Amino acid sequence: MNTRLVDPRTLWTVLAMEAALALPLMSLPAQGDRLPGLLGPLLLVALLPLGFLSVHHLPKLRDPSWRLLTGLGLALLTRAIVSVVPSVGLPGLATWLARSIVPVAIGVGLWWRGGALSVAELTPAEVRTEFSVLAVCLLLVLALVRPFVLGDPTLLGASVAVFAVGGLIGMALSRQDAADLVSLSYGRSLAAVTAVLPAISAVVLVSVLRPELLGAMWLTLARIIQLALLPIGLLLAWLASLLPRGSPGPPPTPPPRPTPELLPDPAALAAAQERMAWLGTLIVLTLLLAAAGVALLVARLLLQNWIGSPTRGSPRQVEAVVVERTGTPRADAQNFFGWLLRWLRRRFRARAGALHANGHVPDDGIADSWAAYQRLLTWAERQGLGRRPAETTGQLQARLREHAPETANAVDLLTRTYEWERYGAVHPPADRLRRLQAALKALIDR
Amino acid sequence: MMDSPEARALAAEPWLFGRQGLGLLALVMAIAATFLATDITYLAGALLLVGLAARAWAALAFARVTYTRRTSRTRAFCGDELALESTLANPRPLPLPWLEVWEHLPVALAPAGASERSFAEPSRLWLSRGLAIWPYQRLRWSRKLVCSHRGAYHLGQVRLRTGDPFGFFERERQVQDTLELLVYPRVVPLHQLGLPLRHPALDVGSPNSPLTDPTRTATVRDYRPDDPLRLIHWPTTARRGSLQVRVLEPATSLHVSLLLDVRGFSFGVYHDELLELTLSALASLAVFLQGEGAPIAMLANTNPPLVIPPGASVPHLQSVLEALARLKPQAGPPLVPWAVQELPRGNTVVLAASDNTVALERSIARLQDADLTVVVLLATAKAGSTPRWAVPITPGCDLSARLEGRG
Repeated sequence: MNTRLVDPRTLWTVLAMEAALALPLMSLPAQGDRLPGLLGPLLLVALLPLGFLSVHHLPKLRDPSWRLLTGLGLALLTRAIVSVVPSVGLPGLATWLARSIVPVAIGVGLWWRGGALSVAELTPAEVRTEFSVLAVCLLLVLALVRPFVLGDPTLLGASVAVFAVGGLIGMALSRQDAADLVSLSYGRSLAAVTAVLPAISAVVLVSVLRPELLGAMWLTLARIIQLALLPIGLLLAWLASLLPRGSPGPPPTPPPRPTPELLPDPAALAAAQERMAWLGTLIVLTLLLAAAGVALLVARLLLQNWIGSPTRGSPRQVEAVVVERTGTPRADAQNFFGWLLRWLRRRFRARAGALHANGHVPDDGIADSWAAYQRLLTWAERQGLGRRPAETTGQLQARLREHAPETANAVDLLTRTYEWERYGAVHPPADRLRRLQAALKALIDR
Repeated sequence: MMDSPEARALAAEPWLFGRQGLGLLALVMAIAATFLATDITYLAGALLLVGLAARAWAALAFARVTYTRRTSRTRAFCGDELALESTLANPRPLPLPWLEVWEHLPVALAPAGASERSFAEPSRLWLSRGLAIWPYQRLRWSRKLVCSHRGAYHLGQVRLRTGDPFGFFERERQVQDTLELLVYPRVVPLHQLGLPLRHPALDVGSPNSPLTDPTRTATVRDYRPDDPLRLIHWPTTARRGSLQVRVLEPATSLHVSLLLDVRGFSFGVYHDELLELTLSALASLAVFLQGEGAPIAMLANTNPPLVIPPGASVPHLQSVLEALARLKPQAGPPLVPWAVQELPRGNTVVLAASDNTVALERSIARLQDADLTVVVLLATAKAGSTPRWAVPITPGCDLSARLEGRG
């Protein structure tokens, strides 16, 4: 595991991830009765970065007692903004305080966590683990705990976006911190850009997944499963047909005539509904309390393990790294198209070679003596008499004549014509080209 | 810190972005999209895409990435400073947001930069350099090496580590190069020699002497009309296609053999320092004598034995210094009779030995019996106990003064 610590600035992305998870989780308990909606949860979640900043800048708040008192005060302040005291006097205040216990506890937890992060010494591996764990938690929250989450699409969308962007940037930056990166121009920007690109691509790609497309996809999957299981079904049907049929049973008895039920008593129904509502409220409250307890426990564990020394290492001296340009996109594109062209040529040549092997000679293949001589070379190669690297045309001619005397005339004609054009710049006339073609055909058909 | 490639294996891929995790994310995304749960679809889709992109990125991490390095010189004297210049090129469209370059360098070269001691080879350390490289960019940096100890140093392997931008999948490439850096022994400047090196039976030759020694060729050059035909060097003439003649070394009667007995340098309190001082003395003598035009031979009873025949040219001096730079005090054959067989007859022998050497006086007597003039440089920790017939080399002594006969 890499033991290097992440830069304090990278911790902001960790804060973003945690805020993105906390926001939907506490969206319902943090609702205010005076200003319902997003304001209550947003004010509470703001305590997380506020705690981070405050503890970072005010060393006095590193004292747990001051930190706790400040957190309590700020959390109560957020509740005072979004909720009202139900009645004047001590009972009303007590009722308001009792209603605010859960949101205030969440607020204090977030404030404390922010403060703890400001003095935490996280390694990149811990940031990565946190991202993975929080990603799974957010998926579970959105999928399974959805009834207990405020169903505001803006809130949920913002949570997902903040988590994805913050988490990815955080991981990229922390990996750079782990590599002990020297300060290069736009080095951090490179990490941020490369981290955000997959998130943007995901938005684009996922937008393509329309319900019609997915319906078609599932239907195709069902068909595939059906086809895969069809042989087993047929086999089972065939096996069932082999079993002996029993004697015909008695005729089916008609179903009993339903007896009309009496209408329920409206008063009893109302009482039952009231009982169910009370029971539902009790279950919700119990679940919320349990969740708050778990959150506090987790916060406590995190505080125990992650509070560290606020001292940071001194910034490293920038070492001289010279940046130069190498290669260009244009050269890359040229190389790619060149490769593509060569590949296509090879493919077509291979096809032409296959045609030759089958004894086909294209009639229109000879445009000049060069092409004819290439055919001669191909033929010689197929005979096992291919031209050697250092061999001249004359030497090859002599060797071919020696190995196959009956082809001497054709080989002489092809070689001489090629030499005239290649070395003397004498282009053969049309009748000579025709003779070349005939000689070549005779050679190949031999 | 425990971050060097020796101490830290490549990071294991997280489960969420492994094959099973990605499959699960794809399933969650498809189900969420079917039920129009947009937020879950986007989150699962983003995670899925991140995992797939990270895998592909890591697979292509080292494609067309090149790393090279070279030193400003491959030969240096003790005390010199060299620059080790490294170049990393990324001539392709894919950037690398992080890349660790770990160099395995000898401690003796005191390389500058953040370092960690190597566990496998304690004489080396790992130096790291973290970089981010944009597309079509080449980074060049240099590291200062201080040649404070004699020796032949292999600069060792380089390990490059990179991967996807998030660090889920790491990849490593090892670059094995054969860069060798030779650090010669320290050479002290000598203006005169206080050792009785002249052979009493012969005249002293001058480097500008018109007489030449036909048995020793210094170099070859183009033929001139007044050159005697017997000096034509026919193999070189045939190779170059023009007449070449041998240039002979000047004839001189000062023939010196530097002889090192390494047997006593492997133990004792100051054995390392004494060995370095002794080698420094021999190197200084070699440089001085070459400047005087005197041929020198170099012999040491190491394992395998070191024998460099006499010569007075600059390349010959370089080979002597290189041999001294590479020398390790691993004892080979006993000094006698091995040295008696190898030493040229009539030479003056400068014998460098430690006072720990067994039967040193008997060895000297055997050399003298073989008609050799022997001058002894005796490496010893106790200056007062040196015999009169030896020049003492003690820890911290002024070597220049000792060799010039001033101290």
